[in-house]
Amino acid sequence: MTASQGLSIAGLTVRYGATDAVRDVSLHVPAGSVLALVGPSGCGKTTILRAVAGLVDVAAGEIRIEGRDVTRVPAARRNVGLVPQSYAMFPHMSVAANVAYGLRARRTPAGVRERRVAEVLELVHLTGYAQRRPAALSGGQRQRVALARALAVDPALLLLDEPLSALDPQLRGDLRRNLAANLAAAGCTTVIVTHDQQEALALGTTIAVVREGRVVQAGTPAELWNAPADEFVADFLGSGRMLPARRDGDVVTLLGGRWTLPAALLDTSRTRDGDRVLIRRDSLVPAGPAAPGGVTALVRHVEFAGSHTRLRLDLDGTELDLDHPGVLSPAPVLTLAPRPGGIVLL
Amino acid sequence: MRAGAAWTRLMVAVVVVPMLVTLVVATSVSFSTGPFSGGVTFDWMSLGLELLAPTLLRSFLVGVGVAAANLLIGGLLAWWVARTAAWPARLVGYLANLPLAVPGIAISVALIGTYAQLRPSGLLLVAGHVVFTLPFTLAALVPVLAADGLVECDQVARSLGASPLRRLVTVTLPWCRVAVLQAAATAYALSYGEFNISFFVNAPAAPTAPFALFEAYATRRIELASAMSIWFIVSLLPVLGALAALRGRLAERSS
Repeated sequence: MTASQGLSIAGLTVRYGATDAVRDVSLHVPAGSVLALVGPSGCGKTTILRAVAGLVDVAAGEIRIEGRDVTRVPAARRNVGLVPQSYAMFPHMSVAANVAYGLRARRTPAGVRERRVAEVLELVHLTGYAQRRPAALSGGQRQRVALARALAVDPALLLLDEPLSALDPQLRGDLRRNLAANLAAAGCTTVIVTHDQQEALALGTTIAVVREGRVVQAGTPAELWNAPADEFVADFLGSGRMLPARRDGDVVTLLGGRWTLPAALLDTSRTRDGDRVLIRRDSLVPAGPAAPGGVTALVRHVEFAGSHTRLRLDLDGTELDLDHPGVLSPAPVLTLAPRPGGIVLL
Repeated sequence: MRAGAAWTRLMVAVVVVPMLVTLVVATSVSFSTGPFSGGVTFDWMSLGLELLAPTLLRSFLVGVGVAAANLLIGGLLAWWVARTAAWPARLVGYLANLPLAVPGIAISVALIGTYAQLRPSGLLLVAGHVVFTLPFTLAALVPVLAADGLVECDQVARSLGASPLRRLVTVTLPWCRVAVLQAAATAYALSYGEFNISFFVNAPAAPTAPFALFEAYATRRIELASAMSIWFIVSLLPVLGALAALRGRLAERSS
């Protein structure tokens, strides 16, 4: 496989009337890898997916799948497998007929078709469900049938739109792991659209954060987690809060000079002279008034979440979230200090 | 339970009782002297069938033609209105619904004035009935064709390489079959019983069944006209029964 294989998007713009739903988006997904497009509702991530599938008109830019320019190619000739948010099962067909649909459309001989259907049903562990109707399946099973149907045609590119959002929250963890395993087994170049940062981090080998029709940052999950491009990325991926900072020798000052930290307590492995810090939910710990780098915060909200207590804090007008392991006694004011290496200088 | 009984009574009062009264009139020797005062006779029924039969066949053929035209024209129009966001589609949708608010006489006069040459062949009658029934076909088909679920299934089928014809046959029609059947049944029933347009547009030498009924009530004995009414109702049963059975089968298959 060469670098030109997989999916390449260059300068993609999609317009709905006078509105640019997607503006000048460029991305590359190497063959066999998984791109997670993540962003808030209405940011344009599904429009990017639909443009790649050929379901919306492209106003400008170029889309290449396995090196072939498909920008103006009809959806039926792009050789993509699409799994929409609702899974879009054909309700009047059995599971096997759903899975065989694309093969029939491509006039695959019956023998080859039956073998392929059996293969993909085995891949998604639904061999015993071949004759069932979609109505007789659970949400998770429907998701796997939709995935099998998309994979059956051996697509050059697999497109999944919010594949887990229609499922109960309790099931999502297991099904996310199953989906990851199925995608790994299929080895197909994949684009997943999601608004869930956990899904993006767990499923994507690359993540692109989309905001207002543009890609704000693209990179590996670790890159985005550890070095978010801006406050929006940090906040959206849940990696933390970014604050402007100023380093003066051995100290770093935040909040316009109202919070001073010893530089030695910060993670300065990325840069020694950054002008921002990334404060994660576990970067601060309750401390005594004399703790180095300590700061007093108003407790705005306390939420018990089982393994930890989540607090919304107000640091002199700047709000931060803090996850404290175990139970924390409620108090209106809390003194906090940085965990060594917990705050990252960027 | 009580609501069910109340609805049943209401339906009996407005549908079954008038039909029974009509049957009593049709089987009375002379209803003007009282029901069955001169005894029971089936002569009116026999004569009524003889007079009405040719018009029933004509109405059946017109009804089938109207239902077919509705599915073809109405189906394509409904698909276009449902899948197009542009204003011309909305405008055409509104225009197609306009005949609902226009009296049959106005539609008839407009059609005769514009397409008089089609009148002798009966095509103008079919066209008039299509104009009259099209809003009902659109009302049945547009919401189903615009359903998000169908649109997504269609998009998936497209992405899997299916041609437009294959998508129509394997995805769209199975998804809409109950609505299609409903539209066809409604168009047939409306055409079969339609009087206003038939009265004005149709050539008098080849009357439809409702026109023949009107003429019978206007010019013949009430017993004979009632007998013809009974035969008209009976003639509806096979087609509506077949449609109901087909609908039941479809519902069973999709469950």
